[in-house]
Amino acid sequence: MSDLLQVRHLSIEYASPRGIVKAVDDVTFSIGKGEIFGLAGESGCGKSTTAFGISRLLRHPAQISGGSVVLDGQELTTLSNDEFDKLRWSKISIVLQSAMNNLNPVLKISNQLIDAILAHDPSMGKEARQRAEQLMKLVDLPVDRLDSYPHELSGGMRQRVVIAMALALRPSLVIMDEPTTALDVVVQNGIIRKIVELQKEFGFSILFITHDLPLMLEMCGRIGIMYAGKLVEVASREQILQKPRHPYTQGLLNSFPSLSGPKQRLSGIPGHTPDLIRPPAGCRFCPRCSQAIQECQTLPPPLVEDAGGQIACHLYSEEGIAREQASAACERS
Amino acid sequence: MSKPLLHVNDLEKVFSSRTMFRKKQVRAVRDVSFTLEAGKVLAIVGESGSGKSTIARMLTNLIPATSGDIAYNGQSLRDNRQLRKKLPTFVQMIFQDPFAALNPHHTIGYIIGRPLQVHRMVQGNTRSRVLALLRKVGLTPEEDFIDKYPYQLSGGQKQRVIIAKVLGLEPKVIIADEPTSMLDVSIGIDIMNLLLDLKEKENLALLMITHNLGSARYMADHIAVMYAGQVMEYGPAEELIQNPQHPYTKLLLYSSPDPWREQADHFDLSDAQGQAVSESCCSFQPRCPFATDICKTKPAAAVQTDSGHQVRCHLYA
Amino acid sequence: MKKMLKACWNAFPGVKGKLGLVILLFFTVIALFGTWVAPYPKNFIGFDSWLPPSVSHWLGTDSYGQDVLSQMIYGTRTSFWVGILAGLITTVIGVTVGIVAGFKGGWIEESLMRIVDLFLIIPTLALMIILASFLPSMGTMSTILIIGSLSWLYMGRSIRSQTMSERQSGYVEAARMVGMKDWEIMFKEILPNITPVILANLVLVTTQAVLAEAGLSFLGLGDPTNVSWGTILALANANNAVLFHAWWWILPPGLAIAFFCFGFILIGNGILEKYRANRGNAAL
Repeated sequence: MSDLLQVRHLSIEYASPRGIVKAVDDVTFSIGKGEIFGLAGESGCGKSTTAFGISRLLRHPAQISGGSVVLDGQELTTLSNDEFDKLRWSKISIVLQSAMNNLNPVLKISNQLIDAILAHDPSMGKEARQRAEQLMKLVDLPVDRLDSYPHELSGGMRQRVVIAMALALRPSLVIMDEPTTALDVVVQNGIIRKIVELQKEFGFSILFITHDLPLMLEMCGRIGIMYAGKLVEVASREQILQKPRHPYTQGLLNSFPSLSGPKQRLSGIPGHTPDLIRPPAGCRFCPRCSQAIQECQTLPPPLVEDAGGQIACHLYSEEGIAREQASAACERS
Repeated sequence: MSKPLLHVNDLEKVFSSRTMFRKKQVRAVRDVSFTLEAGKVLAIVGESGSGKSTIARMLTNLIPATSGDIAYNGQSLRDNRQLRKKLPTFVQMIFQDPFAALNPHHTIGYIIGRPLQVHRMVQGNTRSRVLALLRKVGLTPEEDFIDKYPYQLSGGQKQRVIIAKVLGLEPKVIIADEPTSMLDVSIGIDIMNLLLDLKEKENLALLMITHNLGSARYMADHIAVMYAGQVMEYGPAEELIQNPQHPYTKLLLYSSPDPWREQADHFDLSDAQGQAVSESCCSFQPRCPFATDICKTKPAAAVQTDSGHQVRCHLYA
Repeated sequence: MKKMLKACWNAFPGVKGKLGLVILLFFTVIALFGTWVAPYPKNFIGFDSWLPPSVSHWLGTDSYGQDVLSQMIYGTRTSFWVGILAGLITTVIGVTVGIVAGFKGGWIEESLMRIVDLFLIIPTLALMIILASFLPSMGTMSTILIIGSLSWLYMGRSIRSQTMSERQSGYVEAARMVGMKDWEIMFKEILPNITPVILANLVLVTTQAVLAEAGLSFLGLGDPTNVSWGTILALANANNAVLFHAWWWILPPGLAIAFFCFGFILIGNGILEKYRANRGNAAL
């Protein structure tokens, strides 16, 4: 599978009164063509900031301080704003959690959809209306809803409109930042199934961002887990379901009460997320980690690529594995 | 079977808003009955607008019920000034948003201590009692926390402060209204564990209000599933999750993400929410894939099924 | 002591707030110790008229032969106290009415707000003029009372709307939940959270009070035996100071009024900026 999006050593920081906050620190991952890639983590871990960095929605004072973002062979970080605006919607579009509340309340849905289409493809002319109708059908909304105002639609319907807008110009990458978080589960389920269905039909790639790991595990092929600005693990859905490797991933999975299987006490993760202005010297998860070894306190683990994906944890470095085997051998004898 | 601490019978709440020309009425809650015993947890599950938070607010007398009866320890809340006055020491509520529920201008010590003074729960030293409460909810070293202001705490710590404040009044019933929905999951599970532990230790009755079936299963002994102000299904938690009867419960279960389960049956549903439903039919009927003619003409009544659930559905009548 | 002064100094945020504090301190010192500073007794007539500024009369003399600087210093005392006291009366009434109306709602709010509306449609200055000319005179005190009791209307409204939005917050519900009495919720839970709004309003009404006093005095409705910035201006106007090019008679009271108000406004802005930064929003 060839890569559509390559994010290399991306760092994003912003200045706060107390010092510089490294919201995203040296994040590297790639998304294949036609792949649904998930980025999960808790609040403040930098997952949304990463998405904003890729789609150039960062607001002052946040700024990209290093790294590169390559979409389809084109470097995005060096483009001028005008050049980037040409790519927006046509190559890369974004659906935000709040997007459904950001529709203009005094304009009809049809006007907003057609405006979005015409703004990027003025040659469309009268066809724009037809295209808008097609889009409505695409997301299972009745065509006559085009003549409604946003407040006449439910939250789920408005989010469908936003998704239709994002797909209007057939982008190759759609970034979805918590697109269903504010919605009820039943509505969420309908929208997620629709997204997956459309993705299969048109073959665009999705960068899906949510804190809801179970939801992500249901729909994403590959998943990256972020903690305190760092990408700690990237692995396939199956791998994470069956054998999550990073202690944080394990802890996170152990925080969601399940609906199936035996009912057992979950432990969560003790402690709280570190201060990003003065992060711990070694691994950022170290203060909360139950499996921490000596290196963890002093040496930040690098993100290494291996057979199982990418992982940043000393337990899986060569020495870590050797030590584990040794201790296992000790136990046996 | 122990005597129920809380007995709710046929609770109803009608919100009416009057504009210049017409009166609009919304029946937010109707025909809700349940009991809650000491040491037990009941979870009320429903989507937004299902009326679950309205029930919590009626139980704590923040808003009056339109009709029906709420009885604590056999004493009805209606026309009982005495009981209403000391209600705070009997039932307490933990709010959804720990960030808003603490007054930013008071210290933690004041926030926890003041209710104790209001209800004369302490003789002499309030501070030592507050320290003990902080210890109880795991905010240690407690001396560090007592003089802090809310903005110096994380979300999880704020929720613990709220729990400490609630515990200070030594209530018999605690209502938790989505106590973890504003928190990160790994912190939220800690809060749920804390509530479960406290329930065991203090023999509390816990009423948990949530939209998440997973947390409901994790916490509760019994689950009530609400839709449009009515309880659609009520039963023992594990039973209800493994063997749902009402189409709405099935729909909720099917929609909740759970990658660990085996693939569920395909369940087709219509997204017809928000439709006005006349009172002469089952309120779930517009979205129900199993709806028949009778569902459109007659409201469903709650019936006891063989598996021990109460189900409000014509399919089981 | 040093610590306390430092705390006071820091309570006024930003360059603006501190500049405002310096201006106000200057006026406070003059108001408190003016009698010892003033070169000549109050209303002392005995110099030549229309003397321009000189070493013996820093601000010259007026048409009656009074030393303008001395009159200004005595005038500061009156204007200062009118501003502070009338501002305080206004604030107490405005805050009480605003919080009670905003928190209680229902018929209490309705009736309080209708009273406010009733007064709002009557031009306040006109009402003050009428009251000032018909009420038995109690000197400066009656000016203070008239201004104080008529300028709380806008303040009451703004405090009410702020209270209404605070009433929705979680901590108010939490306070009701634990069974706190209404007065405690209003004045111990909500009040601290709207302090910045109250302070901002206080600044505004104090400024208005000084201006209103000047206006009333200018129209000859103040206490005739007393001197204030307004009466100095009124006299200057009545005696055609402009025609005599006696700028030293007109400018000092005008500038004093402007600077006094400016100091209050600076403090208010400083506090508001800090409040906004703390809450992270631009509403207000």
